[in-house]
Amino acid sequence: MRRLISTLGLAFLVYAGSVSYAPDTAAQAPGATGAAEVPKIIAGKPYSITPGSKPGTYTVKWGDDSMTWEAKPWYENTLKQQGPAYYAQWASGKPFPWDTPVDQRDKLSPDEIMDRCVAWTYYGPYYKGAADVWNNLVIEPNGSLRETEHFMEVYMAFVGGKNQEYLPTDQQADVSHIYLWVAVDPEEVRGQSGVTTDFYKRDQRPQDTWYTPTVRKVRRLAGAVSKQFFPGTIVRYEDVSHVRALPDLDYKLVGFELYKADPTVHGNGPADYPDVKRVDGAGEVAAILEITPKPGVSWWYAKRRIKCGMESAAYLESEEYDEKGQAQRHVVHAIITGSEGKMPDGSAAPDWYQTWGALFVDDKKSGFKGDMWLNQLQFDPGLPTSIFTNDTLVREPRKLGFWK
Amino acid sequence: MRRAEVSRADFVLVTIMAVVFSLSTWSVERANAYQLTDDLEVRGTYKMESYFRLPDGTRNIFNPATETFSREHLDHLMSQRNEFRLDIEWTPNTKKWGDGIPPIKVVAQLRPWYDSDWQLSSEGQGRYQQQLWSYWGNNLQHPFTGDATGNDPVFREYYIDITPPHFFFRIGSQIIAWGKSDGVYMLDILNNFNLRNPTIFEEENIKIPVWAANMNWQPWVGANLQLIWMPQWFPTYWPGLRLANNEPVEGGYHDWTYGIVSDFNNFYNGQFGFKVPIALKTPTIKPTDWIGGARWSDSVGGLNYTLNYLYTYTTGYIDYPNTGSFATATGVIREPHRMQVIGGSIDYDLETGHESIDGTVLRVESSETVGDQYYQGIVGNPKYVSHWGVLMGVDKNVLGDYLERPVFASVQYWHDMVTNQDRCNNCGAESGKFEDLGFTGSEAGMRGVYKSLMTVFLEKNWLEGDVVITDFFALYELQYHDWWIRPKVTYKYDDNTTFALGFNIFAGSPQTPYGQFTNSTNAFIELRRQLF
Repeated sequence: MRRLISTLGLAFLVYAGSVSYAPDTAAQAPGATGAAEVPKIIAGKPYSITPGSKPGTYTVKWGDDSMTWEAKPWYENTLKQQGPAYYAQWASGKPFPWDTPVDQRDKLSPDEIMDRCVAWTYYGPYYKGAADVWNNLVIEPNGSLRETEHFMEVYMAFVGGKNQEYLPTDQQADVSHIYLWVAVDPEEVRGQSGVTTDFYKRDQRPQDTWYTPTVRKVRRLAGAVSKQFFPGTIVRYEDVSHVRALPDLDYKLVGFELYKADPTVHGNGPADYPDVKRVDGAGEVAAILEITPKPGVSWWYAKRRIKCGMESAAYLESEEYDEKGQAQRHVVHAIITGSEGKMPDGSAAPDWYQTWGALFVDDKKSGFKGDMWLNQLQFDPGLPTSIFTNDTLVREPRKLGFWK
Repeated sequence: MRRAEVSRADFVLVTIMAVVFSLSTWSVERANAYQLTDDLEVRGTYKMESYFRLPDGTRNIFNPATETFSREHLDHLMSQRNEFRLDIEWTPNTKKWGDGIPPIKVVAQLRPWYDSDWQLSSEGQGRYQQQLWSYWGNNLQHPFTGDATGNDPVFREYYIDITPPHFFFRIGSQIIAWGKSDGVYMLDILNNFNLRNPTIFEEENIKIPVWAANMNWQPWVGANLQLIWMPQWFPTYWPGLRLANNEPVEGGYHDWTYGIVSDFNNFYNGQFGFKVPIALKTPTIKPTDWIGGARWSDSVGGLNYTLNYLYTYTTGYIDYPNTGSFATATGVIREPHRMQVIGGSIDYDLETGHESIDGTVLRVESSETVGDQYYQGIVGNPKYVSHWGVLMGVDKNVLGDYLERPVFASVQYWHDMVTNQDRCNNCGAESGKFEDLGFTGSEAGMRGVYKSLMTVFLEKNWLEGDVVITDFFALYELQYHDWWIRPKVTYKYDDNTTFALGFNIFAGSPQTPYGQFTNSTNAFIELRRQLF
C-alpha cells in the first residue's frame, strides 16, 4: 500500500511538474491543438501568453509591457484558434529566414533583419516560386474609390543556391530573387509587364525591364527606381520588389516593443476589409529598425521606422517622416500565409509559408490611401525555367497558370 | 454605287454605335463582365481621336482632269476618327484534352473604324470624298481587307499561341517588333506602317499586321532563337499610293500626303501634258516571294544583345520608269525590291558607383540594309543602295531628388549613311543626292549620303495613382534643320476612361521631311473608354 501511495505520489508529482514546466497548450490554445512552444525570452526579456479574463482573449506580457489579445474578424482561422501562440511556429524548427534561434535574432545585423523582414517573407526561399493576383485600390481623401488595378505576379528566390535552373549561368552566383509582374486591368495598363532582378551585392541596385503593348517591345528600365512610385500605385518600388536593404540607405536597430497592432490605424481596424484573411502580428515582439538615407543621398523620406516580428520575422508596420519630422506615410502590412494558398495538388500550403500578403497605406500628406492584397495564391506552381525572360512579357499573359 | 456604299457604311456604323452605346450603358455596372467563361475573355474599347489644324493656310493642288494647279483653302478638321476595338481571347485548359498538349491561346482583334471628316468638312481633304473616303474614311466597306492591300482591316490581329516547354509559336496575323529604338526603324521593319497619320506614337495602332509563323526556341535561360516566316508582303501604305485605272486617284488630296508622293502623282496625272500609267506588281504568296528572318538574343555580363537578319522587300513600293529614266518614261512599274537587313542591338544598364551615372541605360541598334532603292538625282530614278544605320540612345530618370515622381528622359541620335550606290548617268543634276520625303522638285528636298537626327523624349506622371501623364517629344534633323515637337497630357478620369490633349508642331523648309508639314501643325484630342 505504502509503495502504491509512493508510486501514485511520485506519479502525481511528475504530473504536476509536467503541468508546471511543459508548454501549457490548454491555456495557449483553448479548444485547439498544434500551437508550438512559445519562447520564454525574446530580445532579452521574459515573454508569456496566458488566457485573458474574457473567453477567447489572451494576456501577452513582454517585460513590463502587456496587452490583451483578441481575435479580429479577418484573422486567418489558425490564428483565431491558437491565439498569439500562433507566431511561435516560426520561432524554431523552420528553414531560412527563421533558421536563427529566436533568442539570437536580436543580434542579427540591421541589414539582415531588414532582408528577412521584407524580402524573405515576401519571397520565400523555401518554396519553388509562387504566383498570385493582387489588386491595388487607390482611395481619395473623401473615401471614394479612385482607381482599381489588378496585377499578376510570379516570383522566386535563389537563396542558398536553390532554383538555379531559372537563372542564366553567368547570373547564378549573383541573383537573390526575381519578380515578374503583369498588369491585368484596367485597359490602359493591360498587358504592361516587367521583371525585377535583385542581387546579393549590397551596392548593386535591382534591375528592371518593362514591356508596353503599344510598341510590343521590352525595354530596359532606367535604374535607380527604388524610391519611385510603382506604376499606378501610391507605393514605391521599395515596397514592392526592391525590398532588400538598399545601398542608398542606412539601417539601425533602435529598439523593441510589444506590437499591439493599434486598431485605430488604417488596415488594423476590425472593419478593415473583413473578407481579406490575414495575420497582423499583434502580440509579437517587434524589432524596430530606423532607416535613413546615407549622407548626400536624397530620398523620399528623411526617416523610416519599420517594425519586424521577432518570431514571424515579418514586416508588420512602418512609418515614414519628412525632414521636419512630420509623419508623411503610415503603412500596415499583414501576412497572408500558406493556409490561404494552394499547392499544385489543390491542397492548402503549409500554414508557416508566408507571402507579402496585404499592405494598407495611409499617405498623410495627400490624404490618399492605397490598399492592396493578394489572392489566388499558388505555391510551387510548376514554373518553366524560362518564365522570367522577355519572351514571357511579349506573350502578354492574362491569367495565372498561363505557363501550364 | 457610291450612294449605296455610303448607305451600307452608314447602316453598319449606326448598328455598331447602337451596340456600343447599349453595351457601354449596360457594362458600366458590370466592369468585369468581359470574362464570359473561364476560358473566354472579351473586351470592348471605344477610342476617338480628332485632329485640328492650327494654321490658316492654302495649298497647291493638281487637278488630273484639267492638268492644272489651283490654290485651295486648307481645312481645320483633319480627322475625326472613331474606333471600336474588340479583343477576344480564348485560353482553353489543354490538360483536359490530354497529357502532352501544350498551353495554347487564341487571340482575335477586330477594329472597325469610321472617320467623319468627310461628312463634317467640305474644305481641304474634305472636298475629296469620292477619292479618299472609301479607304481613308472607314474600313466598313471592306471589312476583311480594309482595302486591296489590307492596310487597316476590321480583322486586324488573329493568331494562335502555342507554348510547349522551351518553345513559343505564334501563328497568324500579328505584329512582331524588333530593335531597341523609339520612332526609328532599322531592324523593326517586319511590319510596315499605315501612314494615315505619321504623328501617331502607338505603333500597334498603325503597324500593318502580317501573316507570319513566329517561331521561338529558348535553348537556355535568357537565350532565344526566333525564326520568322512571312508568306505575304504588306507595303507601307501612305496617302496617295492608291491607284484607279492605273492612275494615282488620290493625288495630293490627303492632309498627310508626303511632298514626294504628290510630286510623283502630279507627274503621273499629267503635270507635263501627258499621263504616265502605273502598273502595280505585288509579290505573291508563292515560295519565291516569301519573307524570312532570324533573330538571336542572349545576355552576357549584364549586356543584352540581339543579332538580326531579315530577307525581305523594300518597305514600300518603288516606282520604276519603263524606259529606265523618268525623263523619258511613258509608263511606270510599281513593285518592291528585294532587300536584306543585317544588324543587331544591345542595351546595358550602367552601374559605376556614381549616383549621377548609375541607372542610366544605353541602347545601340545598327543595321546594314542591302538592296534598298533611293530616288537619285533631280530626275529621281530609283537606284540600288546599301546603307548603314546606327541609333544610340540614353535613358535615365532625372530630377528624382526634387520631384515626387521623377522625369523619364530619353535621348537618341540616329544616322543613315549610304555605303554603296549605283552610279547614275541619267539622274540629272545633284546625281550624288537622293530625293527625300518632302521633295517637290528642287535640291532643297534632297539628302546626301549622310543623314542624321536627334530625338528627346520626356515623360512624367503626376498626382496620386499617376492619374495625369505628361510627355514631350522633340525631333531635330541635323542636315535639314527641321523640327517636330509633340507635347501631350493624358488624364485618367476613372478606371475606364482617359482623355488626352496634345499638339504636333512642325517647323522647317517646305521640302524637308518635317518642315513640309508646317501647315499641318495641329492640336489633337483623344478619348478612350473601356466598354466591357
